[in-house]
Amino acid sequence: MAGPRIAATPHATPPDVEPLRAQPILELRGVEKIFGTGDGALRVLHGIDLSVQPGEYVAVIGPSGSGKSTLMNILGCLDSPTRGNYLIEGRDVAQLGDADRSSIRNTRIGFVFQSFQLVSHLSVLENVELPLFYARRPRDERRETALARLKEVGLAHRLHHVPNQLSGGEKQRCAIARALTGKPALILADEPTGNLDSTTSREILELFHVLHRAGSTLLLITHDPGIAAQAPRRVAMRDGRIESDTGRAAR
Amino acid sequence: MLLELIREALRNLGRHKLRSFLTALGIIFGVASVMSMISTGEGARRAILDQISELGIRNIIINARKPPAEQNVQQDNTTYTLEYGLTFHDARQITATLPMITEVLQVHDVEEWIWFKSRRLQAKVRGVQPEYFTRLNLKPWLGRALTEQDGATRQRVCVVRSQLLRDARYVGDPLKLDLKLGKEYYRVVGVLQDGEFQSPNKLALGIDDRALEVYVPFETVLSRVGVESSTQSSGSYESSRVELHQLLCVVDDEQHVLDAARGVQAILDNLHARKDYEVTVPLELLESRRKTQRVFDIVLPIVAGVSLLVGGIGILNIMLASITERTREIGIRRALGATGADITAQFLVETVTLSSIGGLIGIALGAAGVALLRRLTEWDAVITPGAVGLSLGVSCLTGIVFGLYPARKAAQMEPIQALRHE
Repeated sequence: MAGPRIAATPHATPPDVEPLRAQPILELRGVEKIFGTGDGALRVLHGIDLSVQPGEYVAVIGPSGSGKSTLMNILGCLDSPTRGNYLIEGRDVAQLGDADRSSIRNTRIGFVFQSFQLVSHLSVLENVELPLFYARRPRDERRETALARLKEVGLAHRLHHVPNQLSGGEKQRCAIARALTGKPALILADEPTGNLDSTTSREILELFHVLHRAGSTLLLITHDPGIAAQAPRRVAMRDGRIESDTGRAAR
Repeated sequence: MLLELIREALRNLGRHKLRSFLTALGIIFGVASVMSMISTGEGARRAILDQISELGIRNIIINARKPPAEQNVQQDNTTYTLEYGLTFHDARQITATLPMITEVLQVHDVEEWIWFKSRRLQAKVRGVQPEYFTRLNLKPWLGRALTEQDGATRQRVCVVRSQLLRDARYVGDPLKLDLKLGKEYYRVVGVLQDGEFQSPNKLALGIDDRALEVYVPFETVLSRVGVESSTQSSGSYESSRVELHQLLCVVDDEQHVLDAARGVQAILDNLHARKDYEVTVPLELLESRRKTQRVFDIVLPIVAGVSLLVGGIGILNIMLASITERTREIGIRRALGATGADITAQFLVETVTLSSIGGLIGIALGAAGVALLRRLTEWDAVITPGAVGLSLGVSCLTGIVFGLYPARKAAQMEPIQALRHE
């Protein structure tokens, strides 16, 4: 006789242990962008797949017309893909309305543009405060944060100047400070050195390195291989496709 | 948040002071004209209401009227006495027939001059009953009104208007003043304040002469002067006999005034062969004045509407231009996280701030205009809080109505295109 049967304990299968990895900050799946319709339609992006992990410093390089600016607009939630999905921290941007997209731009993304894009009639300090204004932060907090950011980029001596009174490098520092105010998950820089001389460019790139080492996630768009070479990971684009993706962080 | 938007709006408007001022000019003049129109309209309305309430809303006034001229021309040279006007019998008849008339006050005018020393005063002397004062809201400013006692004992006393004292150039205690009426002296016992308003409307209602009236007890007049009088005019004596010059009927309720007036009219028609009387119903006057006012009430909003429309279009135009000019800024703000609603709010607040400031300036300008008008003319213009509130509200509303479209347009701009705008 068989002894009293002890109910077998359910076999504890070890869970599928996936390699522990952070959720990507952004993920593109088969993103296409077509401008216009019918015969005149222009296909700018052909199925882009891209994923960026927190803390990465990525340079997207490509000649003009390669679709990198369109990519940047999609990444910045300024434009939406015609087809495919764009997930930012796991949320599909296509599903979001104006208010949510604005909120993502406000709190998750910091923009640095080639043409600086500072509001010309606001002072340096006020420009840097702007994202916090739209985050509905109290006045004192805005001022404090903006001051701290301006110190970080070395522009504390120009607080009450208006953009026209600044040099190109100073304008870009101001823009970087502004991109940093909301403590964004991702800094998107579109040709940040395009309007700067080589010395100033070096300073700005150095600033990006500092930010990268401090843990910021950066995505830099450029047509200049020299600048792209500074970044640990480089994504080359051509004719709306990703041609190569090198120096990718190990998974 | 709103406060900061307003501060920001003020700064933006301040950057282009001349442009902002010119933009607001339409609103400024619109509101100023509306303000002054409301104020003058309100002044006129108040003057009318004051006069009518002075006459009493529940009163019916019957005045004796001299019959037309051809009837008193007499060819023979015998003394002829012209008899006309209201009679004691009329008064009794009205009291007896119409139950809703609670009182019939009798008034007899003395056709004599009134003198102070050797100065003849331009005043009408009326013999009235004591209730006359209460029914017409005449309150003595000094001394007292006439009493029952004065009439019963045929006192030679009178109540005057303060204007009369000025005309007589009398200095001293008015209550010690004796005025000569006929061959006898009358002691002043009370002084009435002059009417507050002295406007063309009052003349139109035919009641302005009250300022120059002297009131004496009715009974005193009847017993001492009598109902017959003779005046000398252009060399011939004219003698007349008038029992009563005025009847003041008081109706028990406002609702019955018009019925009572018809009743009075019927009785008098029956008793008088000639039309030697005139019935005045203050309530009817009020109604007809209200109708006139209504025309004003229709015209005013139209004028106001047109001027604000013009002002509003000016604002709309400049705001549209301003938005094109600031496309880049809009793009930047959008990239930094402003929602469409944020952009709408920003521009709407700016427009409303501009139109409200225009409204405030317009109100100030309107008030100044009204003050000037009061100083230069006899027009009674009154600035009411309602007019100020309305003007401000309307200018605010103009800002909202005409600011909404440009603000929405700004909010609907594509962020990328806006950023690339040169």
